[in-house]
Amino acid sequence: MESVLRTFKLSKQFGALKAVNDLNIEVPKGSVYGILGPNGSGKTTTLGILLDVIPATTGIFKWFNQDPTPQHRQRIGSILETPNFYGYLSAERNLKISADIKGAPYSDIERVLHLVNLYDRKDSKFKYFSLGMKQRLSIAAALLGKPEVLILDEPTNGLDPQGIFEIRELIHRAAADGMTIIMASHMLDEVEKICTDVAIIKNGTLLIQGRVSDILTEGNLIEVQATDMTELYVALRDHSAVTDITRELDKYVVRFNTEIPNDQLNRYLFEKGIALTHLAGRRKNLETQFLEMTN
Amino acid sequence: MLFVLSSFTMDYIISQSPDNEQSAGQALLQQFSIFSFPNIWHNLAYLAGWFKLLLAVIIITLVINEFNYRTLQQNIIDGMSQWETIWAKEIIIVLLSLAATFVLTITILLLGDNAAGVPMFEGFEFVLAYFITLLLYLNFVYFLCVWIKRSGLVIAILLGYSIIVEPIITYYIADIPGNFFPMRVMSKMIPNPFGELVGINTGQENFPMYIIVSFVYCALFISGIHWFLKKGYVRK
Repeated sequence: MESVLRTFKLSKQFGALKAVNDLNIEVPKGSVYGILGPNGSGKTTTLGILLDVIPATTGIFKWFNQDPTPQHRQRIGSILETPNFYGYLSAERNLKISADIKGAPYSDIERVLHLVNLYDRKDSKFKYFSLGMKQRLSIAAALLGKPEVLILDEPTNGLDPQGIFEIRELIHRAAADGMTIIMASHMLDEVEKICTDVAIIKNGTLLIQGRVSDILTEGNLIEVQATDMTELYVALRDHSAVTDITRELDKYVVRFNTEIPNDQLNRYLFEKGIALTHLAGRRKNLETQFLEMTN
Repeated sequence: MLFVLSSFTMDYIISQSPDNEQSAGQALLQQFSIFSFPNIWHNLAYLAGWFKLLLAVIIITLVINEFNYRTLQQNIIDGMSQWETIWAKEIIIVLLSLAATFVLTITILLLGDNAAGVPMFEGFEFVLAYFITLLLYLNFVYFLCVWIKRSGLVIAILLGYSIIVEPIITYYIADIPGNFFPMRVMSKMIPNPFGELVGINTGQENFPMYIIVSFVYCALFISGIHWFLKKGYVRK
C-alpha cells in the first residue's frame, strides 16, 4: 500500500524527558489516521517534528516517500495546538497570508470560509473571534488549496456539540475527496467515530497501530436481556463457548471463547424456551482497549 | 520631530555656553555650529544615532509578535523555509534602515547652513555610516529577539549591554579586540562629534574596515538566528 508518511525510529529528548521514543508509524494514503494517547503522551511533539518546527533528536521521517522539504509542507494543511493567526488582521487578510505561503489562489478563500461558516465574519479581526470561531478559521486555513494531507491536532477542542458535529462532517467529506487525514486526539470516541486507522501512544512509545476495525473487534462480547434474567443466566452458563458472564444493570454481557454469530445464540436460547428482549453484539470499544493498554 | 527639536536644543546650548571658557575653546565654539556644512553630516548622523532605539522597538514588536501569535511556527508549518522567514524580517530591517537614512538626509539638506560655501555632500559618508550602524544594530536586536523571545527582556538586555556591559568590558581591555565589539564598532563609524569641543579627535578612522566588520557581525547574527530556528526556537 502506498504510504503518505513514514517515520523511522523517531525520538525526541527534552532534557531528561523522552517525549517521543523510537516511533515507527506509517500512514496509508487515503486513510483517516488517528494518533491517540493521553495528555502529554507526545502527540503534539510528534506532529511538530513532522512539520519541521521541532527538531528530532534521532530518527528520520519521509513525506510522500521523500526526504521532507518546505515544498512538501505546502501540500499539507496543518493545525498544531492552537489556532495561530495575526490578531490585528481580519480573517480574510490572515487567509491571504496563508494562501500566499501555500501558493494557493485567493479565489479559494471564499470557498473555505463558506465551508467553516465564517464567510459573514471575514472582515472581523481575528482577536475578536470566539475560541470556536478561531478553531474553525484554522481549519479553513488548513483546507486552503485543497491539500493532499490534513493534519489536525485536537480539532474539536473548544467546540460546542454543533461545532464538533460540523468538524466531523468536514473530515468525512475531506476523506471522501481522497484527502489523507492525520488526527491527534485524546478523545477515544472521536477517533472511534472518525478514523480508519489508529496508533496508540503512551509516553512517546507506540503501543499499537493498525486498522480501527482490527483493533476494535478483539474479544467476542454479546449483550443479552430477557424478561426472566435468572433463567437466562442458567441457559448461558450451560452454553459450551461461554467463558464469562457479567451483569451490567439490566443486561448480561457475555464473553465467548470463539466468535458466535448473534442468530446462532438467539436460536440456542429460543430452543431453551427463552425469548430475548435485547440482543446486541458488542465491539470491545477503544476505551476499554485503550485503558487496558495504557495501564 | 523629536529629533529636529533636540538638535535645535543642542545648538542652543552650545551657542549659549558661558563666557568663562578658555579663549581657544571659545574660538572653536564660535566656529562650531551644528547646522553648518560639512559638519552637519557628522553631527546629525550622530544625534540620529540616539533614535536607533525607536527603530529597535519596531523590530522587537514585529519579531516578538511572530512568537506571541505563534505565526512564525504556523508560517513554517504552512510551507515557508526557516531561511525565508529570516529574509522576510531582513527585508524589513533594510527598508527601515533605508527610510531612516533617507529622513536623515532630507533633514540635513533642509536644515543645513552653507554660509561657508563648502561642497554640499562633503561628509556624506556619515550618512552611509548611519545606514550601516542601523543594519548592525537592528540585526543585533533581531538576534536578541529570537534568542530571548520576550520584548521587555530584550529591551532591558539591549540597553544593559550597550550602555553598561560593553563599555565596562571595552574599558578594561586593549583596543584590540576592544574596538571590535559591536557598539564600539558603531561609535567608531560615527564618533561623538562634540568631543572636538574638548579637544578629542573625532574623525572616522578605518571606515572601510569597520564597514566590513559590521557586515561580518550581520552575517554572524543572521547565522545565529538560523541556528536558533533549527534548534527549535520557533516555539516560545
